[in-house]
Amino acid sequence: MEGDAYLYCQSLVNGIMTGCMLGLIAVGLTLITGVVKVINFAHGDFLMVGMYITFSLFTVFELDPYLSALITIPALFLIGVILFRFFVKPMLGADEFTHVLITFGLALVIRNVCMMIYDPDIRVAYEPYMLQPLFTADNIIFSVSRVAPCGVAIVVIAFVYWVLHRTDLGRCIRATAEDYQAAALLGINPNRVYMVAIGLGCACLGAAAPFLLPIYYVYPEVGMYFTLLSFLIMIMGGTGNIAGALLGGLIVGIIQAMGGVLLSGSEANLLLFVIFMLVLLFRPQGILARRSG
Amino acid sequence: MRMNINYRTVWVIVCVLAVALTIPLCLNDYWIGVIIFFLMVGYMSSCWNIFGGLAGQASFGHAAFFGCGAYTTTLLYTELNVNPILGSVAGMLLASIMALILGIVVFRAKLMAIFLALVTFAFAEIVYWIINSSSWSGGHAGIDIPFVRGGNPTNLIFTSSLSYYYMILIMMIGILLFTKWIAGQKMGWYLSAVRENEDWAQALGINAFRYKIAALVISAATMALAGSFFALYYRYFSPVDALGWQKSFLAFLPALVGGTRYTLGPLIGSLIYVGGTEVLRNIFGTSIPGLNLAVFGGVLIIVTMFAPIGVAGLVEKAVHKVSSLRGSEGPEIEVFRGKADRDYT
Repeated sequence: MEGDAYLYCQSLVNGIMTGCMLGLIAVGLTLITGVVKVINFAHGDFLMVGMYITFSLFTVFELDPYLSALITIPALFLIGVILFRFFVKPMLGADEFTHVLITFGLALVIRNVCMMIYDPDIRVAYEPYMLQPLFTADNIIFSVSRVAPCGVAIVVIAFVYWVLHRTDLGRCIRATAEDYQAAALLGINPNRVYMVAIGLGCACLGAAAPFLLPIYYVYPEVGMYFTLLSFLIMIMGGTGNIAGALLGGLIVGIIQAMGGVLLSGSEANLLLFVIFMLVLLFRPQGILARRSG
Repeated sequence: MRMNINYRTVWVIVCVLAVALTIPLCLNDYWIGVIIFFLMVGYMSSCWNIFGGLAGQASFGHAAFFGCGAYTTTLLYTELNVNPILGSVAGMLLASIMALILGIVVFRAKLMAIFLALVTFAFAEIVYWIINSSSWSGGHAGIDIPFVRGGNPTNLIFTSSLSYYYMILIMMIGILLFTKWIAGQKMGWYLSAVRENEDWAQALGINAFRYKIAALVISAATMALAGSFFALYYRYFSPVDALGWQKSFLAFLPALVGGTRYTLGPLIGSLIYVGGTEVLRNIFGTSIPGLNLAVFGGVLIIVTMFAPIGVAGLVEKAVHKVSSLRGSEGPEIEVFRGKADRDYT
């Protein structure tokens, strides 16, 4: 394949693979929003923390970025538990504005603490092998740095789906998301479920961060970008819907990648928001109607 | 609206006005700049509060209206040489039309609060990306109002920042009086009813759709005026400055911190936001960049957790406590009646 057709196909492939990663980030958010019903404006900033952990391990211990997932996943789970215990628990039942204010304050703290520790510079971390093509099909390159995140995203999303639908813990989570009072009457402790759901949501970020660092760069302001993007994806797909989040991620990834070649960069963003608004107006519950917790 | 005009209230107002009118004369340009920014944020937030506080609707996209005012005024002046006073009126009109269309679309769709917030946010982003990628608007680089040597008072280009201070002071007083007035009108009561329970309000015969749109249009038009002031005062701005999401946050953050149920809430919130960040910048800014905003974020969390009705609510409680100790009724600062406490479950 050559010429324009090759360019479009390569962008489409890249878009799909990045889209899976964005889907994973949105799955984390959809778990938190769908189950606990809080609006987490610090979501992208937790992802940024994960990326900085990876970056630090890479620069200090020369650890392979992909291997640092073994550390970032438990670390982010712990951060999620702390988030629940100290920030979410006191504001359960308060209105949306309270959630936005508290989590936005949290985002400000995280962002600026990162600014103090690391400079506002743009950082990346990768090993040379990640830039190599894993395989090529008809000239289209599937590089390691794109295939690995895509694979991890699918595995983690499948795992989350399995936990939610095939385990007792998942049934508790879905029951609590449906009606926490009824769930509490049946002997489920909603606070524990909330804690696990937030921890799981943040652990998704822990899985995403190490695989994101070779293809996206990290800087202290990056959190807001991912927060907005994941809200957009979550709502397009349908809040609380795992498959919807993956679908939304694919849509956004493809629009961004194809918009980059077909339109100018800013027109791609314009298109993204126009589509988002149309979805909200004609299908406010999201593209895939809400089914799971 | 209850209006307890007693001597103490009058005294307080007279004293505040006297200080406001004279204090910039004994400050340097830096502090006047800070105070102008404080009043501008207070004004923006008060405008937002007509829609966000009085009508209780969530908007994260007021930057669109702010930028509309800024761009309309600037483009009309630089391209067609229209007087900025007329230009700001045009900006207000254009913002009203934008708000009307947006309002009809979103309120017809009957979105939940958080979706309303995100649609308005997306709306502002769309406007931002359109302006950012067009050439007629100056694009990504932004546009400027050329400075005229010696100033040009008829076109609102002044040499000293004092003039701008008095300009924004008048706007601020205007919006406070306007908010207080509108809360006491039939429309204000209707909006409070819609805020507290839309279904009940409609059962009583209030056309919630129409009044919510009216609140959005008023809020947008007044917000556009802030944009015009911004353009005239800074004389150069880029799409991020005028239309970025930061401006939307600047519109609702102070109101929420200060207390959306109070006329003075946004102003108090702005004092905390601008004063806090400025003082922290002076203390830490030069030594450790970012520490000031980190501390501000911490303050924001603490204020929200321990004063969910806003700082104005705390002030009111304190005033009531003091006056009840003295055995007399204190000055009322609450205007928007309704349940101010939130039930935590």
